[in-house]
Amino acid sequence: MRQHDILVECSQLVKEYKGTRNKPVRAVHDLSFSIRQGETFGLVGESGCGKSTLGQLMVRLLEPTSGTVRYTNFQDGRGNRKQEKAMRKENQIIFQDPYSSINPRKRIGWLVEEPLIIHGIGKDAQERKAMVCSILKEVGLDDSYLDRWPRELSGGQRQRVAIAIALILNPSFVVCDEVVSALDVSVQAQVLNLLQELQEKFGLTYLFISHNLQVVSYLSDRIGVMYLGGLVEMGDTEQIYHHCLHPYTKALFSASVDAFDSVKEDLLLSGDIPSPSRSPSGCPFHTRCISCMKRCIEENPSMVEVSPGHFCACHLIQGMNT
Amino acid sequence: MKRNFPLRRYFSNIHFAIGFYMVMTVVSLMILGFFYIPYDPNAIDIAHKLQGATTAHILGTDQLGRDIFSRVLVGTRVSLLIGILVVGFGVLIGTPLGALSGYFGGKTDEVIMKVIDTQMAFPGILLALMIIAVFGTSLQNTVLALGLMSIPRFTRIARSGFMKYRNAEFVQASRARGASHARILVLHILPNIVPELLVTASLGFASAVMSEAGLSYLGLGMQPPNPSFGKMLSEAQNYILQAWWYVLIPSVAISLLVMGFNLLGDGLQSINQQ
Amino acid sequence: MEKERKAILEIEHLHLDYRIGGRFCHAVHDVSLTIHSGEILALVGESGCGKTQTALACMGLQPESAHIGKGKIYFEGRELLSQSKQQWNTLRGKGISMIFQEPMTALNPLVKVGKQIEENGRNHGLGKIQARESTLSMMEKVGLPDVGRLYSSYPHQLSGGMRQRIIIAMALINDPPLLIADEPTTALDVTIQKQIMSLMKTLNKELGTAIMLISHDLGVVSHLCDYVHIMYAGTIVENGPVHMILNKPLHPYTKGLLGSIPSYGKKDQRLDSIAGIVPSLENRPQVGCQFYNRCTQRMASCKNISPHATMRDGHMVACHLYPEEA
Repeated sequence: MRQHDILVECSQLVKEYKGTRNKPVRAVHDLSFSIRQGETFGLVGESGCGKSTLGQLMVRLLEPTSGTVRYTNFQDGRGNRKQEKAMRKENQIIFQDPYSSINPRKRIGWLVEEPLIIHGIGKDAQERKAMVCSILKEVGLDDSYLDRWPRELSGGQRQRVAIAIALILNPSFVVCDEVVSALDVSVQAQVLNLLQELQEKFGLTYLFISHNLQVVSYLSDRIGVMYLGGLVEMGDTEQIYHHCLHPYTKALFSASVDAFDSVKEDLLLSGDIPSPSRSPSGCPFHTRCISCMKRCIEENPSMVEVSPGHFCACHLIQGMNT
Repeated sequence: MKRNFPLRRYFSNIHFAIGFYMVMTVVSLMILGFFYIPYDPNAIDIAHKLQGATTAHILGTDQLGRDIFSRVLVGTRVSLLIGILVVGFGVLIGTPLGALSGYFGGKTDEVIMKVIDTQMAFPGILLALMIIAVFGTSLQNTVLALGLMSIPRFTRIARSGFMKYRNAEFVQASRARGASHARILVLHILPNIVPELLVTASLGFASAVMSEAGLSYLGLGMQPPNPSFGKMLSEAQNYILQAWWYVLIPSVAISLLVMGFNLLGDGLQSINQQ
Repeated sequence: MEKERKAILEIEHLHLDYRIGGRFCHAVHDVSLTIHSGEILALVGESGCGKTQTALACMGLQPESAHIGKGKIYFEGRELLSQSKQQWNTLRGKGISMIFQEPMTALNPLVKVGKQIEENGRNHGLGKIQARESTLSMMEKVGLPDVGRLYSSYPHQLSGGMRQRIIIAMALINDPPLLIADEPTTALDVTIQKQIMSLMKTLNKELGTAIMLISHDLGVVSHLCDYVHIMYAGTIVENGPVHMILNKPLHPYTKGLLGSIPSYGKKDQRLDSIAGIVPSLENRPQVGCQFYNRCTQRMASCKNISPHATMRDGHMVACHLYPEEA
């Protein structure tokens, strides 16, 4: 990996929330990874695994408890208003539910124009309007939407608006947090196609967060699998899809039913996901793992590079290597 | 055509429609009063005291022979003016306090809400009496007293609204775009709680009119000879057996305003919930 | 093979309309389907296609404002739509049970889950002791551990997967011949979803309960069901055995739906999405094909003539591309 390829780098990121009786709840636990320029990094995991928290940490909507998020194309903006604003211009986030992520009391034109006003871009209203129209056109909406209210739009159209708002500042990095999960299949396909077109056109880098392994493996160049606040496996999509190593990844693939493939390996996990406030000792997955060993209960495995670019945190793998 | 649509939505609500017409009756009387008052409302004419409705005095005269209709026309000004000022006071001070409290939470919230709660602990009319007792009776002091009383309700409504939206996704999204707190507060969250504030304002208006009438009735509001509904009512009650209409007229005027604004508020609330 | 089986539920030409602005707008338009005993049948479609409305009509639970214009529903040979309220009540839970998408809101948060299951049994004539016994055995059947303890726990103490199991137990305690499951796994995580799916399949085999599964997820459907009906804007556009539909879809909508599903195999290609959106109730054409405005293969006849279902390659399709063989 060449250094200048990397766009965002997280190291030892920890985010804790105050839980009941002041016992901290670890939403994200000691996470290190980096995202390369121009790629789509897919993040999969089930509810409560901390993937959304991680997404918000990446765009500084949340401050990490410890660890750092470093951007390579501009300076760290902490404590400096001007630099922070520059950071806000480069990083955008798009949320899952297009019904709650758009202010219902503002017209579409106003909403799309707002980022330009915040960052003082465009000489006058005329120039800004031209920019708004051109970005709306990019996402497949025409000028007639300028004066419409969000309530007049369907879910797919709203998500297009949300994308337009995120992209009007011409950002380099976009976090897509479950952006297609709330949409119907046919509309989901439209939005996925749109995201890919825009990526090619504007050279965007995506962090694509989803619980749907099919969507993630379709869209991403690399995949990270999260379980209870930590990454358990990470690698190129090909590596993960064909040679996944971690028992949890295997179970996920087995569970995410594809209409076309027959089930690869019938792996049925027993039990439920533990709550992050009562994270088990040792490997977080050991309570549900089918190949749990004594070592797994005592010791949390660390990420090991199995083959170039393919990381996995499991004692089974380490047992094989050493 | 398209512009008419939201209004039709409002008027199809029976409460809103009735309330609106009740309030508009009083407002049109006030407007009439600006252009035409049959007599000087304070002109005393003992010879014609406590008359019933005649062609000269369409609503009769009071115990000093003053024309009741003229006094009603002028009295509406007082009631509506006090209502507007009191609600304005509450909105302008209460809403920002509630906004800060709800949006930032934590220490800010605690301090503001402690103050508001302390104020709410006082029975409203008692506080007003205290202020008037200290500063003396005048229109300004009535407005000040009632205005202070109306702050907490706006603070509470604004606080709950801003709290509800402070972590809404669209707020998060605009924060991620670099919007400042002021921008989020005023341009993003405020428009979303305007409907609730309107309901509160409407109910607040009704209670301000009521309280003013109460204070005037006790002789602490408008000072004679200036007409006000409360004052008229308190004077009229002495003559209830000789001139029942004299009691009826200010009562109806107060009821129209209070019920009208209450119905408006109820109507707005159910429209919001649709 | 399927002819020999007994038909449990037959829906014939069901029409369900809503009155919007003085006009009847159809939510369900001429839907006919049959479920045989022990079968798992799926109704698949996007939101607003009328799949839930159809299911609710079978339970007599359609909204008050809905108007069933034409059509008949037979359950074990008995016509349902002309039933009295009383008859509906004995049917629900005993003859047909239904489970819903959201496992949290379907349970009363203040009543112990065991009691809630038991109550369902007692409503249909089980004695107190009998009801408790069958509750515990049903809880075991749906794969809940430590049933004695779980019997007296409250819904908030359980995870989403366990709640959905409780709901399934509740639905099946009276051993109904038909279970209607409205998106039973949508609100669950994938690994839990898989557990519930395999549970439903087991129960179908062991108890012989026929299942009508309502889903938008063709993946779930393909692994659970025998027979599938694809719905679009209130009409059934295609139906047949699940493997036939998936491998050889005929209707342009089914093709579009399958093309829209992302998967690793389609990497670096654009998805064949369907342009436009499902028309809202008010904007649905009265005559002609419902899919006309989004179809890539539309013809002049599609606009004015409603297509009839025809048999093609072992499954039914309602599209003018496949005319009836003379």
